[in-house]
Amino acid sequence: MTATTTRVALSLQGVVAGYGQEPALHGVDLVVPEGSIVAVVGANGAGKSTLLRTISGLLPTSAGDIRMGGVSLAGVPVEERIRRGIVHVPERRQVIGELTVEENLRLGALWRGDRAERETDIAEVCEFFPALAARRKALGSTLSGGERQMLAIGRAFVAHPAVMLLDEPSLGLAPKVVSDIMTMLAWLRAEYGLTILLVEQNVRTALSIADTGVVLNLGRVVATRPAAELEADEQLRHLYLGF
Amino acid sequence: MSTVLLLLGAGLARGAVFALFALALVLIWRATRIANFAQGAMAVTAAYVAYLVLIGTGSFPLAVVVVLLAGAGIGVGVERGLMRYLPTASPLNAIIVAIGVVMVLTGLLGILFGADYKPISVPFSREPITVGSLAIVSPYTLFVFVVIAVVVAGIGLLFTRTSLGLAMRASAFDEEVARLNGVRVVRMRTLGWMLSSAVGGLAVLLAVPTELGLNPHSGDLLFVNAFTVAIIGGLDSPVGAVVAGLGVGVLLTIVTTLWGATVGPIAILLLLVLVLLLRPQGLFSLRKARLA
Repeated sequence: MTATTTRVALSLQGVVAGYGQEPALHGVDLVVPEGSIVAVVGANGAGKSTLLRTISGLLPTSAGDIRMGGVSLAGVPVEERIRRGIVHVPERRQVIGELTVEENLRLGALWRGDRAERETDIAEVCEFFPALAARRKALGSTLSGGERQMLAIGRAFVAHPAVMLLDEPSLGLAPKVVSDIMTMLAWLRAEYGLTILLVEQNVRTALSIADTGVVLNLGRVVATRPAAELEADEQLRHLYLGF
Repeated sequence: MSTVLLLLGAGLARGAVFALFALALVLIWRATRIANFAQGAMAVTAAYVAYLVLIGTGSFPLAVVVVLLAGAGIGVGVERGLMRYLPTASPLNAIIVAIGVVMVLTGLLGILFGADYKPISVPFSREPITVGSLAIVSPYTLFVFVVIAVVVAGIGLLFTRTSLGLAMRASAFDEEVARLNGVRVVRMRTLGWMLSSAVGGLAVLLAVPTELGLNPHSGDLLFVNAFTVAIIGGLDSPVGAVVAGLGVGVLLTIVTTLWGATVGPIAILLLLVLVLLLRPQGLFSLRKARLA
C-alpha cells in the first residue's frame, strides 16, 4: 500500500455536547488522521472525557457533526458504533468484574461473527500481556489496576477497531505499567495501522507517544500542534497545563 | 428408611418447582434489575393457555411446549408494552406497574375462566414407585425432575457457553460497557423477559397437578415461596436459585411432616431472616448487597 497518511479517520466539526443545560463542549473541531496517535490534553474539567463519550455516542450532540471515514455518525446508537470501527476504552478501565478475563476479551469480539478468528485474537492479546494469560479464568474483579487496563485495551483490540478512544489509560498506575501500556499503544499503531485518540492528564506521557497534541480548555480546542512542539512550548504549558 | 426417602423425594420435587420459579425471578432481575412481582400472574396466564390446549388435545407434553411459548409471548408483551417505558430512577415504578399487571391478569382470568379449580390431569401416575419394600418417588415427580433438570441445564449452557449468553450477562452486569462493545442491550432485556416468563409459566404448569387445580391465584403461594428462595440464593445467582430452591423444598417438607403445615412458612421466614442477617446479598451472589 502507498502511504496515505493524509486520509482522515475521524473528524469533529463544531461539536456541542454535555450534561444538562450547560454544554461541556463548545464547538469542538478535531481531525484525527488515519494511523496517527492524537493526544488530547487539558486540565481537570476541560471536557476530555465528555469529548470521548460524545464520540462513542454515550452523550448526544446538540450541534455539530462527528464523521467516521467521512460518514456522519448522527443517529447511530452507541452499540452500532463499534460496527463503524470506533471502540471506546472508558475511564477507570471498565472491566466487567463478574466476567472472567477470557469472557471480557470475548465480549470485545462478540460483534464480529467469526468464532475462530476471535479465539486467535484473544490468544494474541494473551501473548502480548502474559499477566492476563496467567489469569484467563480469573474474575475481572480480582485483577489489579494495571491488569484491568491491559484487559480493557486487549478487549478493545479484539474488536478490530479503526479508531481506538482511550480515556486516561495511565490514571493511578505505576510508572512501569504506564510505560508498558504506552509501548503497547505505539506497537498497535505500528503493527496494525490503528488510529488512536488518547485523552490524558498525564501530559508528558501522552505527548511522548503522540504525533499531534490537542489542548482542550473549558470545552474549547485552544491549540493543535505536533506533539513535540507542544511539549516544548513553555507558554502554552504554563497557560493551560499547569507545568 | 422408606419414609425418609419419600420425604426427601417429595421435598426435592417441591423444591425443584421453587427453584424453577425462583430462576425465572433471577433471570429478570439479572437482565433488568426489576423484581417482577407480576411473575405469578403472568405464569398463571400462560398456564391457562396451556390448559386450553390440554383440554383441546389431551396431550400434556404439548401443553408443556405451549406454556413455554405462551410464557415467552406474555413476557415480550409486558416488557414491550409496559416495562420499557418506565423511568428507572426508582425501583418502585416497576413494582407498582407489576402489581397493576397482577390485578389486570387475575381479573381477566377470573372473568374468562371463573374462580373454580380446573383440574389438570397428567399421563403419569402420582403413586410412588416401590423398589423392594421401599417407596421412592412417583413417576410424575420423576417427570418434573427431568423437565426441570433439562431446562436448568439448558439455561446454564446458554449463559456460560454461548455468545448470546455472554452478551446477556454483560448487559446485566454493566450496561454501558456492554453497549460500548456492541451488545444490543434493549434486545437482551426483551430476551430476559421472554426466558423468565417462559420458565415461570412452566413452573406453574408443573406445580398445578400436585395441587387442587388451576385457579387465577395458583401462582400466589408459589411466588411468595420462590421469591424467598431467590433472596436466599442471591437474586443475582441462577445457581443460588436452584440450590436454595431444592433446600427450601426439603426443609418445608420435613418441617411440615414433623410439626404440621402451619410451621412450614415460619421455618422459611426464619431461614430468610437468618440469611438476610448473615449474608444479605444471598448465599451465592457474586456481588456485595445492592441497596437499590
